[in-house]
Amino acid sequence: MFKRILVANRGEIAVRIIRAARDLGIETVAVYHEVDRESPFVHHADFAYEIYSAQPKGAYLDINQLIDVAKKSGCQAVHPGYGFLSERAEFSFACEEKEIKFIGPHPHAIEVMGNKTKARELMSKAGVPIVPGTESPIQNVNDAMIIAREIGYPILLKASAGGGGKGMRKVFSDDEFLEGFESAQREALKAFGDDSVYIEKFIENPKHIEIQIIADEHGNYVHLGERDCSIQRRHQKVIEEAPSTVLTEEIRAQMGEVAINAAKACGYVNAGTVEFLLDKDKKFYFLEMNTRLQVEHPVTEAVTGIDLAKEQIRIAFGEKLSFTQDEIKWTGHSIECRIYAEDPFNGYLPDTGTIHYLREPGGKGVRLDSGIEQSSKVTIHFDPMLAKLITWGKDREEALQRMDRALQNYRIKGVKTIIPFLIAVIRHPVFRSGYFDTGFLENTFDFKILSKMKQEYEEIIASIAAYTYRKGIQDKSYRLSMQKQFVKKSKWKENWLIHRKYS
Amino acid sequence: MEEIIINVNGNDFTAQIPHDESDFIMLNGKPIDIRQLKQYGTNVFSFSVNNKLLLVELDIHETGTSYINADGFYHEIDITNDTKRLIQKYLRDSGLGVESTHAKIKAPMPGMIIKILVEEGAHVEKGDKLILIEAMKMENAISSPIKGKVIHVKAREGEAVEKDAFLIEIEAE
Repeated sequence: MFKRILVANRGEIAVRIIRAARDLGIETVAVYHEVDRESPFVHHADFAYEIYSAQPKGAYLDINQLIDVAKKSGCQAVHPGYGFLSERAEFSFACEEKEIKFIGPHPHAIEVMGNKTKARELMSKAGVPIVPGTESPIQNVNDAMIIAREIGYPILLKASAGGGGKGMRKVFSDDEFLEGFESAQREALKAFGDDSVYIEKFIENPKHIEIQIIADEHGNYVHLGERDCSIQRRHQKVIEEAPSTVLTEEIRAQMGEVAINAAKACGYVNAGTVEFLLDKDKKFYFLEMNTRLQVEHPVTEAVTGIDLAKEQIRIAFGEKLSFTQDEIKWTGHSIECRIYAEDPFNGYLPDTGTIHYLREPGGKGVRLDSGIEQSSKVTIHFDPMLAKLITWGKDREEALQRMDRALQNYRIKGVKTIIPFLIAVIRHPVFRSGYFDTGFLENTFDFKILSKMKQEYEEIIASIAAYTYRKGIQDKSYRLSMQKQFVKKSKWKENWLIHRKYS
Repeated sequence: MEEIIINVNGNDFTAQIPHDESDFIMLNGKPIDIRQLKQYGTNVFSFSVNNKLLLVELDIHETGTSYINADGFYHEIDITNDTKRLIQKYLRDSGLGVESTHAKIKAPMPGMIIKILVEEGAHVEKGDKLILIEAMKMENAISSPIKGKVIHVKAREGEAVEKDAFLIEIEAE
């Protein structure tokens, strides 16, 4: 086995990879930009090297620096995690060139699947069902509008090099086209450095079902079943689960087979995910293939008992898969909630700050993959996902009940998170029923429910406010400590001062 | 015993608070048993309110509004006592402190101004998009809270702004 590997990522996924490496007895090397000096992932590793860039994000995207660190620290392999360089063919290529094993697929597979146009062509040839749309990227807005009309509204504009919902716009009519197209182009250019956009038919309210596949270098391919990632806000996944509530064993087997064919068509090695849209008639269409470990991989791990990150490293070392398709058994149900630092009461805008209090959930059936700890700073430099909370139960009901409990026990102070929103979704009768689609948050979920949940507390909150006010009047040291805590403009402080002056 | 009015998210509660060491206060005429059981760090507390436990964070926003954060719900708090009520009455009677007919749009979070969608002098409806701001790789639109006329655009495209930075001013019409 490898002696030492480089973790070319940060946050919770870096921690995840370090844990897997440790389980295999492998030493790990972390890299960090100055702003991450105190981040937990750095301190989980055996060795840490600083990498440099004017923009913090840039450091984790700098292939030369990463290869340099891998070489000088004596690493035999590199794990790219997700995001950053994980789906850049040139990184996989640069590693191969410097004789460092890339823990992931070969450059060719990343390149083909990373280009949506090429991917569609290849999938079409391999007999994988695809959504009707353009075969080549469009840059001219007039051409694009003509094509949009031909396909028929509603249509979806997508960045050619995209992922994660960036550079993606839904358009329902000619009137909205120009704004949507320009906006998609801008976001695509910002996020991926490529403003070409392609157009496809928008399938209304499908389920987002993806199949986890894994392949070794000896030609063995296995699928590990599906994940249902239909709970999305602005095309960002929020809650994922396995298995899906709507898949029959027959469709699961069919989708698994198609996913394996997709992987074989590009000579895929290592763990990957084939994403599909499943429409109301249970017809499925290829969406894209993610040539990396997914954020939501833990739900598959929970129901199959397979450690995907560990398996990835073993495969990269040249070992055979430790299981066959027939040996895969799915047990129970697993749910994942993504804990984003976003404010549900302010349009889900990202929030920043210092975590000054943290209490993490635990107990039976609860797993937390987290990138934060007490006193961590949440900045604008990186993605606002702080952690992933995963529960397992013998059935969906038990998994949901544990999720409800774990979310309630998860206390983060200092930065706003979507935890209240997640609790509301977990308790929603339609989500609970399992009959929901990607339109759930947009069409079914009533965001006002959060205000109602908030109101339930108001009497208790008023009592606490009254108590604190009284304590502030009575106890000078308490008052001083609160005044020190609060900034100068505090209305409470004014109140206390006014009171003192007149009483 | 002192009577104060506590406004939580716009709803008034009347509280009678004894100036002694007892664990009771009266809220809207009902007795409440309230105890602070534990303190974590400087401003996180575990309270028992009629034996119901709640972990709260006492917090103040940069705009000067007080908050109590309970399980991720941020409650806006304002406390009024007799003295303050007198001052407010004076302000109201003298015509000061009247609600402004201006809307000053501020940056809700730190980010980059990508596009300004309105010009000075433009008429906007409530809900019209004014500015696109990018934070954490996502574009977010800021909409007008009122119907009115754009009287000042301070933000510049391509500019990085801090949270609460003044962006656009709108006069109601």
